[in-house]
Amino acid sequence: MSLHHVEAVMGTSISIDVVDSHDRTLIDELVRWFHHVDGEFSPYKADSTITRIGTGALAPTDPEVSDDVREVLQRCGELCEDSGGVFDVWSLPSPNGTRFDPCGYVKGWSVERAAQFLRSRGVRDFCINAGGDVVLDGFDQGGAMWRIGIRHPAEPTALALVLQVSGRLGIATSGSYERGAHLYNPRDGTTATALASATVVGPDLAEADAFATTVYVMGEEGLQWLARHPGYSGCLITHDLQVLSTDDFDRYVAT
Amino acid sequence: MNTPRTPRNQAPIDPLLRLQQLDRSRQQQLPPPTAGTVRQPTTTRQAADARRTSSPAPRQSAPTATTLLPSGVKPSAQASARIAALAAARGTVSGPGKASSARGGKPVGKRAKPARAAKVASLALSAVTTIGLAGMFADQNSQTDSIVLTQGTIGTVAATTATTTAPAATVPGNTATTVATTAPPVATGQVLDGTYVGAGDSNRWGTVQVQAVYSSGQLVDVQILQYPDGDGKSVRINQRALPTLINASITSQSANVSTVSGATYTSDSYTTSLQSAIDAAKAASGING
Repeated sequence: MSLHHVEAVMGTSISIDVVDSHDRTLIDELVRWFHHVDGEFSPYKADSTITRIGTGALAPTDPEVSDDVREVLQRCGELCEDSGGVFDVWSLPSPNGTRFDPCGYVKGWSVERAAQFLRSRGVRDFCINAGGDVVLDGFDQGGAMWRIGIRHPAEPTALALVLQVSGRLGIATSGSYERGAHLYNPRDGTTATALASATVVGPDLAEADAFATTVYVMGEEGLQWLARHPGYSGCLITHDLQVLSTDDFDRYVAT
Repeated sequence: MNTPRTPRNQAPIDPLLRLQQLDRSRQQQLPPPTAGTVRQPTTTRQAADARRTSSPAPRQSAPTATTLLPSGVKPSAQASARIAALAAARGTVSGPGKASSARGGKPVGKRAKPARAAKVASLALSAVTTIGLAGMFADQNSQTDSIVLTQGTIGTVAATTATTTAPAATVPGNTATTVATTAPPVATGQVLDGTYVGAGDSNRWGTVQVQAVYSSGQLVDVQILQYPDGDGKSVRINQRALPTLINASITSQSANVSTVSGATYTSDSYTTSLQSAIDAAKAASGING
């Protein structure tokens, strides 16, 4: 018995697969959670905490600001420093008219929280895909290792690679082929399009999400930067369809 | 500008002691949580369970929080509407109060910060590697790996600079001639106060570059300018080419994947995406939530 659900929220579609439980209240809780995150963090909502902080209507230190928002801001600050300013949520054009948009971290973070919740409820085998960012654990419906496709950047219905993994893992991919040039290099304000896509895997999807965005904007030197983060590996795909990857990442690739 | 510390109350730095301190602090760092396993002997749920029941080791206890929403937070109207719609579709009543657990809103268990702890560990290791350049690589006192100072104002005699317990920093004597005109000669024969940048030293771990701070003839600090990536290993980048022909690409049918990680898509583009086809197939096979 397993559960499968797709929820449209946060401007994308979240596919949820819970393999070793048929308790639908788990799905309800996840749905509630993702809508709550949307309400707090969406830059498309005028009354979200993030928009209010961005416009200056609310100070980040205001007691009204939740621990979750504070945690996200704290981590985004650290990542900004870590990436030398390439990952900078305070220098991005935001739909609410400000320059503040932490979505590059929030989506993966919210899914990572969802995964922690499922584990706390005793679920061992699950997979959540939020608009291309994936978290998984255990094994798939057939009891085999999860097979995760990485979309081919030039062919919407084809795959560039297949990863074969089991156990706790987050997989995040950044690129321009779905939403166009939406990834900015905060250092010079240009849109980053030198790569077709960048994929990062590691134990925490929130981190992998931010790292994938950073590697994508950095370009080929991004893999060197990524390698300074133990436990995280990745690949990037160029426009002429060359795949550059680290050894650690290649171990995940199904032959 | 680097103001050299007065060493009056400060003992000269002993690289060997420093190495031991750094090594100890590195061991105290939490290891990052391990990511998913790959190509391990247990490649199926059945095998993993069999291994678990045959071994006496208890399972790791999971975080105890059982709700996601923080305490005191009511589900938004949007969320409540969605839950009601789902319940109606299932034909059951499932109100928000029913599903929440008795434990009220304790935040989900502390999220480990693997990157940060591991980064500190790797920095410490890099410092270890750097000190290793003074001859302290883990298992030997190499004579060949030494800090090379190529700049700086050096007094007339430099033989007894740095510490005495480790191979001394090699100081090229010929630089003295170029700076003799700018710096007053020092009769004491010790290294003049200041910060000296070493040449980058490339070894099998990568490039390490340090700068040494001298004060009153003593080495008082060693700062790392450049260090090898990660845990000291150079990153090897592999390259392969994807097929450019459509029919040579991996198709979802032949790949039999559970899900696709692609660049983030919007709700609109989702409907035409590969992921939606996979989700539709799952829904059609009768599993629902």
